[in-house]
Amino acid sequence: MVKRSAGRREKFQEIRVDVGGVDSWDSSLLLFVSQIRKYAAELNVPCNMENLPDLLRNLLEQAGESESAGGSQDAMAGPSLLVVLGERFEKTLAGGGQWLTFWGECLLGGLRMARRWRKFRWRDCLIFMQQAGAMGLPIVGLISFLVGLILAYQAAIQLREYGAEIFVANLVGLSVVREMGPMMTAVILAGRTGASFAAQIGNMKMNEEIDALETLGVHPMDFLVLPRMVALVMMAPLLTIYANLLGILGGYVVGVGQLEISSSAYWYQSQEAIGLNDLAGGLIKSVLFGVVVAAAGCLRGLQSDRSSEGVGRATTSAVVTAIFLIIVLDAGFAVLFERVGI
Amino acid sequence: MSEVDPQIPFMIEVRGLSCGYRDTVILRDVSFSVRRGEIYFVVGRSGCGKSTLLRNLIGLETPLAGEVCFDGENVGNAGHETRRAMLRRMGVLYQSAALWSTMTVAENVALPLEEHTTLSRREIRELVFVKLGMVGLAAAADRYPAELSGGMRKRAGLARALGLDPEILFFDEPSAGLDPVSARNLDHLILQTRESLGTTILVVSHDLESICTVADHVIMLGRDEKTVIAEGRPRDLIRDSGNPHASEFFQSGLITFGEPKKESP
Ligand SMILES: Nc1ncnc2c1ncn2[C@@H]1O[C@H](COP(=O)(O)OP(=O)(O)OP(=O)(O)O)[C@@H](O)[C@H]1O
Ligand SMILES: [Mg+2]
Repeated sequence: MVKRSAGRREKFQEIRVDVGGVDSWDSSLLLFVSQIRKYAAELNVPCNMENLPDLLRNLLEQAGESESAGGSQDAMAGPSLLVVLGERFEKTLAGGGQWLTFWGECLLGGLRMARRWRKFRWRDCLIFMQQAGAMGLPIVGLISFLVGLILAYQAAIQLREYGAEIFVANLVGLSVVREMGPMMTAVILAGRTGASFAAQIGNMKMNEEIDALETLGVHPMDFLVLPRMVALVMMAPLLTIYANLLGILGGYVVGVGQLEISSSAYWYQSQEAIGLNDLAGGLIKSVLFGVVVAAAGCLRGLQSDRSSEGVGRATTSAVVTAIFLIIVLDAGFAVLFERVGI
Repeated sequence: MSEVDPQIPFMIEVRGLSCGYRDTVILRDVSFSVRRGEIYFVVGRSGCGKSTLLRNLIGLETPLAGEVCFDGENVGNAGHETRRAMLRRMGVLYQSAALWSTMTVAENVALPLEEHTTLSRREIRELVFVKLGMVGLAAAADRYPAELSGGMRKRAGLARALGLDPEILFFDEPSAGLDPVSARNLDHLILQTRESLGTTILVVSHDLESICTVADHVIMLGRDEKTVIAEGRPRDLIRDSGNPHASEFFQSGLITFGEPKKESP
């Protein structure tokens, strides 16, 4: 009300607040009076509030104190571009350093584990294997099957022009075994398992559980990271084999059902096309993908801020990091395999 | 309350310790020493940096300045392995209890034993039940932390901290969230632990009754001063602490508890 009339550029001589006769009030009155006071200060006119109840006056004083303790508005102004760039750069460097430290510690943890494998948390590891592997079977299977199906349709459109439908088997078989199987499995693992790793570890960090591990002389690497890493290193290739089979099955369904290739011809063609080296190349990749997914999940969890928002960010960033690294690694492998002729 | 003999060597020595997070200083120039077997209380208003001090003492946070020595050994210059060995001699109860949420109470208490002793599975299980019995939680051994009340979690954390019979115990507000009876049992447990094992115990607490009954020595941290504002034996502090903030804190107990307890002859 005061503000509105001020908007019309009326000039006040004095603002007077009279609360006499008010016998029950709540925080909205406090807010109202405090706003008026602030506004009066802004306009530089005296503000007269004599009839306030004592309690309200006290509360008002406290509110004034905490406001002035809250820091000036200038501090809220954004920093200059150079500062932002510098901080970004520093952060990126620190992030790289953390990756290196993480790998170093992983290695040390691995050595420790090799020396005293009896103390390794096999039980946790089995649970992670079950969560990542067995419980991931339906979604990995479904997606691989569909990818096989899609590839077959795409191949068929092109190959039908030359009457070479039978080569659908080659195309689907090779692309699934060499690329799509390992990659789709890894991406699903990143989304399902990597994210849950980051969330679990981030939550543990928030709850001081990781500090408790450290102070009880248990290395978080040995306790949290290695079982997860081992579980994914074992499950990623197994899931990949399963994904390969279902991908080929997807191609088979299209080949036999739509393109009228005979069942035995399709199998024979697939067997001829897919060499052991293709299979092995895909599996080697999948092991590395497993390492990358576990590492991204664990590292992002360990780095997360101690807040639920921080854990959420850690989860997102675990998935993004993992998928990014998977694609980059895959590109690297494509070049490498081409060079060595796998 | 026993007097501490000045001949006894120091177990914890803190000299000129400053701590904080990134660019904010929470505490500056804190110095104190705790003798072996002493029960040392750290008090202060909420948010004055008691938990921060504790995190710096046990090495979870790197001090901005100053040094911390345990049993004559400086933690700051100690290598990774020495530090780990020192940590093995300490037990910590966190303010949030920090139980491992994927494990049952019994497994929580058992983990340090599994990691650091060569006891058999059955012996560990028995030991776990002894420790849980000490804090009155044997019945909840197979429950998960999420199924416990706040006070039960605290007690489970206590049992875990006591697990390896540590030489130094750090308790962050052990009696917060406990009913008066459990809180008195806890005081008893603290005294008993010191009696039987000679443990040095550093407690962060607001509980004036605990302070009066078990503390040998108290230091008070000031929120605005950011350092130690009063220290001494509890009954001296209650009589005259020499600082208005500290007096306010200690006098607030007089209304509830009357005069501090007299020393037993
Ligand atoms: N991780 C952190 N980052 C930045 N500031 C922090 C962090 N943890 C605590 N602080 C700040 O440090 C100050 C001291 O916190 P601390 O937890 O040590 O208080 P406390 O004395 O233990 O309080 P309480 O009795 O309520 O537990 C607080 O002002 C808090 O805001
Ligand atoms: Mg605290």
